[in-house]
Amino acid sequence: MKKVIDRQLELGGDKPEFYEVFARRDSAEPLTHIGSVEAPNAELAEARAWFVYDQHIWREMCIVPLSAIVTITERGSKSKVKVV
Amino acid sequence: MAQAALAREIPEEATEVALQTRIKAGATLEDISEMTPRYRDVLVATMAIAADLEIMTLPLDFDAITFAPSINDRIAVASALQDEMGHAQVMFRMLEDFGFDSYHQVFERDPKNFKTFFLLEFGNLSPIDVGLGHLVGDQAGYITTRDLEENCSFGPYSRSLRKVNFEENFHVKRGEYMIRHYMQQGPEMRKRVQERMDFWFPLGAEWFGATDDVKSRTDQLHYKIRGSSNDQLRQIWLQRLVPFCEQVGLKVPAHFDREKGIYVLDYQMPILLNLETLKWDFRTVTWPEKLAQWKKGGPLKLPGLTRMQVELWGQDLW
Repeated sequence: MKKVIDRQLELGGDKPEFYEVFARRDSAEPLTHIGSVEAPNAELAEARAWFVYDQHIWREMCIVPLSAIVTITERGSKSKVKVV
Repeated sequence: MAQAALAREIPEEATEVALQTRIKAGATLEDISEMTPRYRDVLVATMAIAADLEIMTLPLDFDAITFAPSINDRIAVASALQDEMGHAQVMFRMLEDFGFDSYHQVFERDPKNFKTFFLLEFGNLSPIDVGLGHLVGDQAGYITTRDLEENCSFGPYSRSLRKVNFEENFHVKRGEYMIRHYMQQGPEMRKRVQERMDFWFPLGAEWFGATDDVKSRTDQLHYKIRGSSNDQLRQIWLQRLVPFCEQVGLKVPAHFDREKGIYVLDYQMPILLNLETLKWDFRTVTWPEKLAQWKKGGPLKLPGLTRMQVELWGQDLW
């Protein structure tokens, strides 16, 4: 039997929704872009960001939906914020 | 408008030359639009193989969870696998930008089409193998991805490997810790570790591919996607592994050549593994013969990947 993964539930349909992840280890560090995750909603994106980018104990971590980002230097380009 | 018209008139050759000049001067590319088709193909191939290798570690080390000798070992293995899964996530997420469908790549693609390495295609027999896998295999993987992080001319990929290498280093350290521990458990245990090392060592040496004198595809170096050649990477691996083995009392078929000032293998690559006895035949063969063996793959590749694709999540996993 094939493994069943509900694409609607897991990925939010066939159109991927990406969230960019920003974090810093302490208040002296600048908030830095550390990567991105794919998730159907912010709650799942939160969990995935926390799970994937666990290389440090972060003091602050936040996510931004890619669709909310307005590009200036890369107008029209498909990838907006780059995975760091 | 005028600019767009101009861009169309530049022949492909010229953009290719411009790109190569930029890269040679040490520039990094930040966006897909800066790439030429050839650069893009080489980069995507490199990233896709790296992603497949991360995936292949999951079925490879699955057994390690079930036969871990202590709860601490079990936690360590599970956490290493979680790392590898995270690395695969990062890499497939990057590949999405190049038009890949991660779900299809992982769950729907024919296991035959996964590009994995021979080293990852043999199941672990005991916790000793898990330690040697970390020591020999993760070491080789770490050296490869470390080189990509330091040198890759595609900036986003290079930076995404920071996390990967940060964690991969732990796996190597854990391998060293385990093997050092087992080597202190008396002569019987040392013999068992040595027997398995005899199997693992040539696999690790092969990880880096064909020797430089026969390697035909050098685009990766040309485009600075990688910084070091196969033989250079193999040398770093030997420099790290051989002294460790000598220190804990493991014999490996390699030594430091004082005249050349480098580590050398005691045999001439390529050599074949007897798939029935799982013993190495140290007689040198031709590269086509070796490539055929790699292509055929080890016993774990197809069943392992198939299982990953069809196994249902649930209690049985634990």
